[in-house]
Amino acid sequence: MHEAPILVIDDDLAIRDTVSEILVFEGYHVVTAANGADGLRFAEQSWPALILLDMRMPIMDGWAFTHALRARGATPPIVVMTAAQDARRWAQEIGATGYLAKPFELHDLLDVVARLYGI
Amino acid sequence: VLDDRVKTSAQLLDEVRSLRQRVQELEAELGHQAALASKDVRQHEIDNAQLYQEAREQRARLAITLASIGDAVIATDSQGRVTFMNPVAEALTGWPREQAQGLALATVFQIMNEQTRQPIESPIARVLREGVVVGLANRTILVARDGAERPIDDTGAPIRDERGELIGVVLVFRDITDRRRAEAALYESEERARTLAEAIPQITWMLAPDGTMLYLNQRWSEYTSLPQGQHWLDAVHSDDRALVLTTRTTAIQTSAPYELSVRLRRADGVYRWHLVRVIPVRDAGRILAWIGTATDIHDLKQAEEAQRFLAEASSALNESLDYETTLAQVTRLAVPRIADWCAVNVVAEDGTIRLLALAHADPAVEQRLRDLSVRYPLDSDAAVGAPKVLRSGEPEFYPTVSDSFWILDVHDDEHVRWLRALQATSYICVPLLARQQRLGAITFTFTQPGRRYDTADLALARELASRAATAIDNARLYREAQEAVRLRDQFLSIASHELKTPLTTLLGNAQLLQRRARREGDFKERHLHTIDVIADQASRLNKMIAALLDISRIETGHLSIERAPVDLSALAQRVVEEVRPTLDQHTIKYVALNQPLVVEGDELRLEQVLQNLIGNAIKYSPQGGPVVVRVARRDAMACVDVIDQGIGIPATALPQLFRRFYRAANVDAQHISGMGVGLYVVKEIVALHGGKVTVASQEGEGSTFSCCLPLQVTSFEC
Repeated sequence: MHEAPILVIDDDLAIRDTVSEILVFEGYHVVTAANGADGLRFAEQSWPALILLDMRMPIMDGWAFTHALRARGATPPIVVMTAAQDARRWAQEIGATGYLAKPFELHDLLDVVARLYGI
Repeated sequence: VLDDRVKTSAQLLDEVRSLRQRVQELEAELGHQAALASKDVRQHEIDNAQLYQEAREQRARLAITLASIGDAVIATDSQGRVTFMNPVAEALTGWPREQAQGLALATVFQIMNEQTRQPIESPIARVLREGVVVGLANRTILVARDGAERPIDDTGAPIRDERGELIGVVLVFRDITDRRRAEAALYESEERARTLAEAIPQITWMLAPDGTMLYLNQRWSEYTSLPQGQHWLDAVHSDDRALVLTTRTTAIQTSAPYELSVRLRRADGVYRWHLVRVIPVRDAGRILAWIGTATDIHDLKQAEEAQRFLAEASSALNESLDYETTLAQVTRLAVPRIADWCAVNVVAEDGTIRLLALAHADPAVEQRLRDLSVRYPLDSDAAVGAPKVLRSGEPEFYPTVSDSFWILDVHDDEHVRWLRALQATSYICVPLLARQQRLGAITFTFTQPGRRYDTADLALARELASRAATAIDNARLYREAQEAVRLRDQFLSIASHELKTPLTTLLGNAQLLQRRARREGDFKERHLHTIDVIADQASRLNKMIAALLDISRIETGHLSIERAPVDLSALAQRVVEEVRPTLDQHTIKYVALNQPLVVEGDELRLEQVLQNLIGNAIKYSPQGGPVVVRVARRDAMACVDVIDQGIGIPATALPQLFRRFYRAANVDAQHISGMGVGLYVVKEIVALHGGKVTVASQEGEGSTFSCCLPLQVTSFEC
């Protein structure tokens, strides 16, 4: 059992649930948020080991979230998780450690999490 | 020459008379001298002898003179009897002097009227009676002794003695047979020339050497209807007058023929183009006159002009698909050549009629027309003009525009004033028709008096309208197609994007279920199978959506390549190793090269290319079989060949194989499904890398696809 949580931020409930289910099944502790603002509150409280971040969201998007997080001095690894074709470029833009282009295969998700969790 | 001879004879006659007078004077002097009782008789005798000698010499000289002159001379005494004949007179009358001497003149000199053949009174009788110089009536025939007839010219003059007494008559005449013949010939040729000048359809004229008009044929009056006495220049178009005059002046200075095109006003006020040619008539180098002709070349010129205009307009129309601009160009080409004012109105999407292009010979008027079109937009119910033409689909053609024409559709008094100020004289409006659609109308208007449309112009206008309509239609169709493509790409992009979220959930849950089942072992085998099917199909759906998205990206230019050094050998090997465990009917073999093949490229995209080519090799070998993946270096290229022994590709399909959505004919028979997307995406990705993908295949024997990419340029080559 991993203690530090993985924060999953995505405005789509089905995605949040699916990703959460997969990771929980693998023994990770997962917290979810529906937008950047909620995500930021969780991050401040729980210090996640890894953040899976959707980019286009209402209220606060991925860019604003990253900016705010960095402003608070937090530097957990971030994996951009988007359906947009610019996944790779956006990941570079915000200085993310990795990206997952939706739709992704389960093993892609597990690979990236395994690689980045706890570094 | 004839005149010169006549003059010479008259002079001779004078000379003869003066000589006679001199002789008489001398004789009188002699008598006078003799009568005088002189101081020295001897001296007198000597003087008399000298005077006598002198008189004799004068007589002899007179006789020689009379004998030498070219005209016939007959002298009579006061009774009309012949006293003298020179050799010419002998020859013409046929009477020797010796025989004629003393005979009555009427015997020797028989004359009659040429037409009536009646004898004419001897001129001698009149001279004797009236004592004056008389000329014979014209058309006199001299009948010689042998009956030969000759036309003659003749003069008779009295001979008087020193006291003025009439002592005889001298008759001078000449044979004018040659002159008469020449006159007849001249008359005939002049007559012929005049008949010709009146017979030809051209306007013909003759100018004096200095350019003064001497003669204009009947055709001129018929064409121009200019009143007698009005200067011919009035019928020349005012713009052409200067040219006519300067050309004529230059020609007179250089004595050179000239040719020019001018507009001549017809009786009805229409100016028509004429080809004018003027040539000098010379006699021994001196210009006697200028002869000019004007040939009506209006229709020819107009047809040529029309063809040239159509050609230019067509090339303008074909130049671009921006028909607003090309039609503006066409109206510019039309003015002033085929119109003083040209406008194109089109039917907008909302059905209103909108002015698209406008040109007027006068820029100020053009601006006013633009303002008018805004102020008084065309009413689609208007009784004349573009709206009517658009309603009927038929041209409107008014060779002559009457004042009332304009007031049919006016909005207010000011509008009427504006329209009248435009001074339209002739007008054509033709519809723009394409594929049974009425796209708009083109209006051609003449505002200069003397320019008038005819049926040839109407035909030209229709032809132009047809080409313009096709251009508009094509441009609109192209725009619609472009818009459709844009919408399709947009739809594809949004649709695929929107599909991704549920697909992610579907795929994630299916694979989670698979994983859970394998790990916890509490699923029945057939449930496991069901879960596998769901997961597989979700994966397949994922790949298809990814391919569609790639197409959309390629079409919109959004497929981007992120370059980094990639070892193509290693990549090919990895892809082969990943594929191998999934095969059961096929074998796959990797043929390596003992050196890295580094290219600058996007590893993910190149992996996609190799996966696709290998996937195809397997897919199109439905009976199973070997697949070989071979890497090779060819010149400065790194190549991967994917070789199969499958169904192959028909020769006819090879050139189109890499086209979007294309599928070879033999795949349907084999029931191999696909979207025709893979190879297109492969080609585009390889092209973005600066490489090339090629295929060699024999139907039924298999295919070899080669993907070659430029090797990375390294500073140290092994």
